[in-house]
Amino acid sequence: MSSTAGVKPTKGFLMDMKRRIGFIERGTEFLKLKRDQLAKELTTSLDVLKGRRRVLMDILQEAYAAVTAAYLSLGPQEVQSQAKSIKSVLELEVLPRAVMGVRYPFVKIGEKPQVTAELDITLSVASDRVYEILDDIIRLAEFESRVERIADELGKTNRKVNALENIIIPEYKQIIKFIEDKLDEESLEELVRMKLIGGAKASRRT
Amino acid sequence: MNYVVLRTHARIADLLTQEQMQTLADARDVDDFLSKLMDTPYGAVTLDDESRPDIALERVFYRKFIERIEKIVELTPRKIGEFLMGYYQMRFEVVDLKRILRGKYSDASEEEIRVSLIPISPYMVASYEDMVEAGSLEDVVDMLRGTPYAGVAERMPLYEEYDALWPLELTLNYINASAILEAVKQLPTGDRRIVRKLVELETDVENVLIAVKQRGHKHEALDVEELFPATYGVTVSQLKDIIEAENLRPVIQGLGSPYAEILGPIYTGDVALIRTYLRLAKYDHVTASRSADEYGFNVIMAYLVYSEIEKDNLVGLAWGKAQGLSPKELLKYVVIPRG
Repeated sequence: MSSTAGVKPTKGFLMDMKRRIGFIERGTEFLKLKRDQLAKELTTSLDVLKGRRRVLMDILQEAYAAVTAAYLSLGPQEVQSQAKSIKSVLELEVLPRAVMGVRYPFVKIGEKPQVTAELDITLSVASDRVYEILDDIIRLAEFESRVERIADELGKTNRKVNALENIIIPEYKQIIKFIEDKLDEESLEELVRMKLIGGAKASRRT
Repeated sequence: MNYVVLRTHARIADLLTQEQMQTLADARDVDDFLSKLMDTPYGAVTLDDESRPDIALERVFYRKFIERIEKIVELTPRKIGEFLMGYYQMRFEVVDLKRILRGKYSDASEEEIRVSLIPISPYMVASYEDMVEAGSLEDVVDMLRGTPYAGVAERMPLYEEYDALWPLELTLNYINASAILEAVKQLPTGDRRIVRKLVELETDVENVLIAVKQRGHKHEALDVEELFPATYGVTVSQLKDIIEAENLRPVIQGLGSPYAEILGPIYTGDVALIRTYLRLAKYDHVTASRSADEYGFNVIMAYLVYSEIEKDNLVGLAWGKAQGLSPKELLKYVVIPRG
């Protein structure tokens, strides 16, 4: 269906359309700025994320090796039983934060587990290793979530900009052109009519 | 005695060989592990919990080990049989008591505690079931009064002071070690050495590991004598040195053989490997004793030590396969039978 279907070719409508397209074009410019900022933020964040991940992966591997060693040394039932003697648990609160209007979760660490039990040394070493990087794991998860949300928002913004630039604005321009053509046509017809009437009046006078 | 020793020699031949252990370690996953296990004396194994095959297999391997002890005990003279039952039953009972106490401490459900127990019948206590169903940790400790574990109740003030289980667990360890050393006296003089050496070696290495753990931070105010109620080849003063020394290496070296060799991995921080080396030292000790006397109690003890190492190895391999670990990662902590 043509975008001009149902369009009223009036001057009032034309002015309204021009006002609207001005508003849309300004909005598009803002969205482009947001897109560029998000892209910049994403690129920087991805570099940081890669670095943090690399560092954490090395430490995580060490921690995982310690956990593996504890399981192989004690057996799964004993590890689970000893782990039960750790009374307190990890308490986290997930709060919303925003960057450029993009909301992402911020993790507030409430209480950390306290290892007061007499764990076997293998398990104690493993728990110490995991405990050391607990904050880093949580912060990395938070940062990954932030990056994901920024990437999502960038995708959405990009789609909006493309839709505005390639569909909405051209359609509005087409409508405006259609109304202007119609109005030009009407004013030309009016001019011809006036000329014809003027010519007829002049010939009647002579 | 000769008959039982001959039967034990035959049973040693039934233990997994180096090749069989390697084949199991090479299994792709748990299913492959189970199918490879079928080609061993373990045969087809039924898992009672498909969702946790590693835990179900651990129970299977424990049952098999207990079955082996019982079969040997049936054949041995009464005194040796009583000693062997006591030696293993009490060790497992202490593990189960610790698991019940941990379960009660953490408010675990009765079912959770029940499934965590090693499948043995009560040895010195009246009933595990009553303890599992007890309302609190204090009630469990009360049930231990009048048993050889009554000493646990005396440590309750320390438990309350630290709100931690370690005073109770250390007491259980001490009671176990003392009872075993007392029971050794039932054995003929010549047979005592092998058991005494095993118990002492294990206690000493565990003491060193506890001392290493204390370095730096935990239980600063605690009396070292309280922490190490039983010591043998490694004295309390040496353990104190381990806790306080800035550089661990000279202190560990000073402990001499076999401790310095067993504790070698401590410098790299791989403490789990110390247990592997301890198992290896026990393996070598009973093997040496066995070769010194092929027709005595040594052979029975060697068989039981080999069986226990095999059980520990299989538990580790099964867990590793459930986790998708490579044979290289697994075999590092496995004592492969020699020859």
